[in-house]
Amino acid sequence: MMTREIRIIPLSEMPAFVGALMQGHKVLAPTRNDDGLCVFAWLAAPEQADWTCGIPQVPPKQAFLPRTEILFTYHREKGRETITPPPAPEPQIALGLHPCDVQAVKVLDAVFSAEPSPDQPYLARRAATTLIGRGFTEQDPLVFCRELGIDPMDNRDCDAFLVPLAGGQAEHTTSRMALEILTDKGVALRLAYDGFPKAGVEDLAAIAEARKQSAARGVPLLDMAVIQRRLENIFNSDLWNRIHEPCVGCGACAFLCPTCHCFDIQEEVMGQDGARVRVWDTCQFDLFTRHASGHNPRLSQKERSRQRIMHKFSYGVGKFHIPFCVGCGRCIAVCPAHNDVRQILKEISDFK
Amino acid sequence: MPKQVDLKTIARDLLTKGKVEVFIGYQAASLPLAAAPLIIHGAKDSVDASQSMAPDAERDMMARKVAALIFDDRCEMNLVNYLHKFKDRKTAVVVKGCDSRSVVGLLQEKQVDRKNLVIIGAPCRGVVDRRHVAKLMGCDASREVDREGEHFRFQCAGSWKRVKVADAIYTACRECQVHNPVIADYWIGAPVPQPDLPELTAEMEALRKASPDHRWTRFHKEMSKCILCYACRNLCPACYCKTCFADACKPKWVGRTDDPSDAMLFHLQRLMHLGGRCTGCGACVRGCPMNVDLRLYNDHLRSHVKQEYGFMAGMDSAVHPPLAMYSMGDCNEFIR
Repeated sequence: MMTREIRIIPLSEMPAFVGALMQGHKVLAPTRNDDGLCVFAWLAAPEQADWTCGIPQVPPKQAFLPRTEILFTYHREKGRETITPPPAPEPQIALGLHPCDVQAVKVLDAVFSAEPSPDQPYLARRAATTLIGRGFTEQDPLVFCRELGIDPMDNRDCDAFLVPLAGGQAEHTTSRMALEILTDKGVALRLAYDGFPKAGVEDLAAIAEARKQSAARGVPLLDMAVIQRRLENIFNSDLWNRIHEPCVGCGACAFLCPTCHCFDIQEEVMGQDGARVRVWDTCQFDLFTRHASGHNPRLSQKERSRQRIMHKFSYGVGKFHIPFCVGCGRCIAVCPAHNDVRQILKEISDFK
Repeated sequence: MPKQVDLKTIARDLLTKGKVEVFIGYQAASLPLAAAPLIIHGAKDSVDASQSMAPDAERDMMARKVAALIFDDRCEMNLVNYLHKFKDRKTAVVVKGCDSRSVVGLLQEKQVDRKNLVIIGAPCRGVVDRRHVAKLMGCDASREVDREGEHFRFQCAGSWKRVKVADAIYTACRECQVHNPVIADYWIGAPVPQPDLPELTAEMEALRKASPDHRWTRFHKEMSKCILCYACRNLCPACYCKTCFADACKPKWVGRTDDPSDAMLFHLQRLMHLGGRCTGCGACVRGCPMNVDLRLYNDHLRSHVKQEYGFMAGMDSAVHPPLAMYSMGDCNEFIR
């Protein structure tokens, strides 16, 4: 992608930069909650953005697919209904996304813009969003985005991108961030970054070096084509008996997955007033596929666990040519049964 | 006193001699400081998970899995939850003190048949809270735990740190009153001493004295973290309703929005269902991806049941739980 310009922001000046972004935008960024857990959350103050976080446990998908989204509200009186659409989304910035989380946004884009029924609420929020990615020089042991071909220094699909300079992220010694402006939406943030100096020759060399080192860290790629082909042939295999067995059927993996996007539509009614809302849902729940008749085509956890893997690594690839997994490792971190998706993929690859 | 045996030896014996169809134990997980459940199917499993395998391959897989069995400070999961999956099959399960109380609970509620169960008791001094250790170490990837008397040694990014056992284990373990299994057919270790603990923890005393406003603020804050993924419910051995109230949709009882009142309603109802049944194993707290601290509320409930009925859940399978029985001698007239 053509870089429009590059500014250098000292780490100590990041709150000033974030504060400037917050003028006229809601800003979603990595922050630590009271328990010390890194999560993506809407900032109330610029200092809350935390640059020591790796991949926050709560993904940034809430910026585009809130946990609860009002589709419309209504008022009923004397047999007549008045329907009010929700207000248009405010301009917002998703800040500090790891390249794998940026890839996850691409997955959501593919799903929610698919014809014949592009999802208007999603697209409206997406259009109102400026994406600022962030490069990482270190990789948490749970993260396997490199194995999926995602380079943690890649700025593609971002409007702007932060490259940490000097020192590794693990030692928390990053002293400056290089802000790459990549699109018109990025340029529109000029007021926030204009006060910072342009990158000098040495900075440009440091950025190039960081990218070069990242690219040089070759890891064996997972062969997604092989996995997809294998999955097409093992729908009825006994393998799923083993894979699902430790799963307790909670929705932690799906709710914290940056690409899982299934939802339920519910009515929230109080007297004459009501709202039609959509809320996060997951194929891991029995209720997800239970028909009105009571019949459930995915009767047990076996079918539900299979669905999760199939959707991510077969159906997604077949329909949108992109795996619905970005290797962020969140599901590995939160699974109470430690049912590691990397091991599941290995079992599938090795299965004869 | 049950016989002390070696974990792998007894597993191999039970599985190869067809004394059990399924063995549920622990194996090292892919994450540092964590153990994952390991479910092993025996040669005589009537619903074998690997029906299509050749007998040799099947035996190999069983042997490999038996060799992978572990029991140590990492084994936090309450495996009793899996008994619901293997209801009518002869099953062996590894239980810590806390987990053994869940077995008693299920026996009391006639959810498992003692005849089908082989209980492998594991005396336990507490399991490591890896998220807390990560915080102490300032590193999310602490590994290589090593126990030296009353200290653990943790390694992180090349440096070692000694941490007191009491600082590294879960709060539920620090407050545990049952380190040794209350029911078992075999033990895989020597009994461990049970420390003397006050009837009510200082935290509970403080909570009881706190103003309603303070308690409400705290409850609101805890509930605001919940994302309604139901990991707490799905991990709880005592939560086995075929259709949970939270999944009822004709009519819908509990909403699923991010309004904290939805999480409150879910957790309050679940708490009510667990009154006199929760054994305090802490599975719900450990499994919560959002660190919702349900422990305090469960503790509160348990301390009330103990005070009012002198009852501790999951201690004796011959005793009826107080909220599941009545007595003609009850002091309350309405119940007689």
